[in-house]
Amino acid sequence: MSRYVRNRLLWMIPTLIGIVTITFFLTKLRPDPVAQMALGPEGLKDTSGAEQYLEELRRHHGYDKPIWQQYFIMWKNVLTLNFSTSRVDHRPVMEKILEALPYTLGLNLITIFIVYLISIPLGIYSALHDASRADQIITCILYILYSLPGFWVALLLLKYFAGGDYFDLFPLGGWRSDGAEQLPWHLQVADLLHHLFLPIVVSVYGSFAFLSRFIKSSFMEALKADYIRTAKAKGLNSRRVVYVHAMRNSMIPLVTLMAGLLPSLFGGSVIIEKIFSIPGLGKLAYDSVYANDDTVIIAEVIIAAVLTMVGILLADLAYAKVDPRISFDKDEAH
Amino acid sequence: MKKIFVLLLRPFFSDRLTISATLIIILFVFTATFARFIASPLPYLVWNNQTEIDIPRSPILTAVFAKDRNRLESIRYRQLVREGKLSALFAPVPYSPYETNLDQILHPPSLGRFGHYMGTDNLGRDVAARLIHGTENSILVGLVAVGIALVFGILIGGAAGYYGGLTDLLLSRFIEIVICFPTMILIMAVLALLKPSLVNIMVVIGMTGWTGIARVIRGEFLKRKKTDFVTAARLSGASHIRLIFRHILPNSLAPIVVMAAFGIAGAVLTESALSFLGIGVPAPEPSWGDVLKLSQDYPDIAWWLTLFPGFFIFLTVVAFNLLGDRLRKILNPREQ
Repeated sequence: MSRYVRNRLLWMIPTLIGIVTITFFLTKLRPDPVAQMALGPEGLKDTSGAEQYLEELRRHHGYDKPIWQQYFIMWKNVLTLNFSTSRVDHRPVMEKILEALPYTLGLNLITIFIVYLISIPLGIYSALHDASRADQIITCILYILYSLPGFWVALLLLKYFAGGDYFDLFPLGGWRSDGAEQLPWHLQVADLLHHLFLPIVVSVYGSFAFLSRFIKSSFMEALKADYIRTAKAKGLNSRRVVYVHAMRNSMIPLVTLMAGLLPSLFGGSVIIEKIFSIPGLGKLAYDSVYANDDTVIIAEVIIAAVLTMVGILLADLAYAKVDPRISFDKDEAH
Repeated sequence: MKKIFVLLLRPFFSDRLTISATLIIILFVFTATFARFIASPLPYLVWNNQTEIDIPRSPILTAVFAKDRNRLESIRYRQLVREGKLSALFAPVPYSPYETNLDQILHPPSLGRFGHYMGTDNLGRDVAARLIHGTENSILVGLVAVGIALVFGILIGGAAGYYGGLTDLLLSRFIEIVICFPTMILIMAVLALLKPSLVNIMVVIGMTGWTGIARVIRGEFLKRKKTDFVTAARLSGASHIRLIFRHILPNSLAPIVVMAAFGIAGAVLTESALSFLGIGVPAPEPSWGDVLKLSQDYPDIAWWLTLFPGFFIFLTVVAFNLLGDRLRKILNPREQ
């Protein structure tokens, strides 16, 4: 176990090197980032003084240095978590990201929690009533939900359940009402949930199908195992066999699935945060793309990738913890 | 060969849902291919010309095959027909996706001759025409992006699975590194640094979508490499290239086909999401996501701007997902 943990932690180093290197190549996609940023694609090339101004900008952002030096500057930025300043409002990039991070993280954690909370009973029900009418209807509904484009659903929900034309049940967007910080804490939580209800609905529903399907097949496999037959033969209560013996073992793979959900959740939050104007990482990315704010975009790509890397690591470690067989297999495989 | 078709096609068409999904996909491809014939302000046929203008017999064919398209499109055929100076047979949707009409801004859907079947947008452009022409972009992005993803996934996953050892170790690490990047943020970053264009969008979606394919192909190759028929081929002196492309790859086609179907659904969804965010195909080009983006500005007035594009996207995505799901069941009988 400890050897596995150590190996797994050591593997983070090449992964981090890869992330930073790929991101560095990304920044080189734009031939002259400063010129485009300052003067637009065509530029004011013929204006007197433009050349000199560009030169100054290039020096200021470090584009005049040789490539290897720029690469090391990026490493320095990553290791000190200090990504110079935004080109739009000249605030430190890290400050902007740290400000946005809790919103995205909070939204994603609630989303994952609710996805699991609803998918697990659905999957178990489908497994116990395989190919029944109810199972078919559940599968069909989940299928339709899985294929509904999130941004379309978000627009429809906003139109019919927020704002006031049809049902004025939810606010149009944002994170909390004005002056909410003066309320007692339980009302603050209620206000928060009121604001987050629609965004969470939109980010949750698409993952049900995938997860509950997975739980169904894993549960059905567990029900066929020898130890279940033994438990039944022993004369144990069949409810106990199903809900204790089979369930425990079929839930193990769910831990790693969490790792698979993470990158898509970070990405999916761009559209949800934009539509519901939640000031998280996705909204920040969207705004920076629109403002041509390279430093923020690049820093955000790195931070999001590193966060995902850590998330996958945690899921792997948790997996090894709950299922001792796995870590052994994994070490063998490499 | 005949047996394969019986084995594959009979279960495939025994199910009503699968047939409808296939029909939707055929319709989708047909619409994309013939978009300019389905939605066009140019008539198919013209007769009874009482004007002084020299009008070709079939303006739409002349426009497709002739060089001076501008002259043809500047004639307002609908106007002439309304005034009774011309008789003409029009396309089902007699509008161009680019043609603005400031007299008919946000016009609700209307039927009848020269009706806007799906309404008009904020510039008076016909939504039906824009959606029909948008199909072209959607299918192009879907097919090309998935093609790129397949090439990368098969090459990288195949090399990792076939050669094993150090190659496998390095390539697997590389796949794990790329997985760490959240797709949507990565795509947005690349499109921010490059200029958003149809080609860039296809390449970016393809380049970020190959990791899942590579993983499956790697597993598939690892499994097939040890089978008897591959060993037999190797012992009879087949080269690596021949072993990979002649013996292992054709036997791994099942998961590739399944993932291609799911991949197209995903790519269509991503493309419309990008257009929705305003970083998709550049401005006057029609796209499903672009129409949906407009609906955000007029949520209370224009329900048709939300309903129709969303429904188009949903239908396409559901059809490709269904097809993928069905193919998986047929090609992998163990799961049934």
